[in-house]
Amino acid sequence: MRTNDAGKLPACCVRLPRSTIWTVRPLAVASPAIVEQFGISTQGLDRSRPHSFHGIGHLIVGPLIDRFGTRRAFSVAVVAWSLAGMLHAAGSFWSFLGMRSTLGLFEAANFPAAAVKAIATGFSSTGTLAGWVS
Amino acid sequence: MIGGIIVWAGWRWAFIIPGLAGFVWLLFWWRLYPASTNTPDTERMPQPVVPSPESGQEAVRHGLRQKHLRRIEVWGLLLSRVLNDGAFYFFVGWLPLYLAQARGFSLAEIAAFA
Repeated sequence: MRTNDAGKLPACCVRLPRSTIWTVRPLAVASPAIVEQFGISTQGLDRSRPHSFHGIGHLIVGPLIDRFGTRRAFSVAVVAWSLAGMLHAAGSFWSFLGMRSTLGLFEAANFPAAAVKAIATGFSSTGTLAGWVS
Repeated sequence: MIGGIIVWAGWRWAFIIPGLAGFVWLLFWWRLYPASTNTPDTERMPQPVVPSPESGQEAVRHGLRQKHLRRIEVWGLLLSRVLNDGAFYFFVGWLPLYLAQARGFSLAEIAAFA
């Protein structure tokens, strides 16, 4: 075990991109504006399909993180879901839905797989960090 | 904060700015997280106290498919997520829209409420 735990910074590092802050909330708060843009009939699809991708993602990312290491696999996931998040803004409803599903797929890496494993393998004071992450 | 971005710059920026923040976060992650974990870390996981006839990756694979799904605790956790998450994400996803359409909340009020 490494003893690299410079206080709360690494913990915040793991915690920051949690889904409620970065991904769910923009859609929820923006939803009146998005309904104005795309129409109410799109909203059922908008909520359900990305969630199924998120569910599938959980099953895929765990083995990938085990295989390629938390640091690398999680970095790739962050890049992918950040790009997908930005591309929400790019165009039509169908591209919006596609980007949202991509985001759901990659964002599954964040929690619990990468966050829990990062704490368990990267730092020594795992209890403290787990508390901060939660 | 998201509400502020929407009011100030439109909903598209509410996705672009958090996306950019992901890249900023990545710099910190890459600098702070121990580089030794750059290698596959199956072998770095704490080993079980009871010695297993298998070892390493084989044991992990076997554990995932066989042992874990036989444990009642795993099914309890699964059940709690199945029952809880549907309700939780229903509220997270739909409440702001309901507040806007049925209750006449403004964007600023929704953001404050969220």
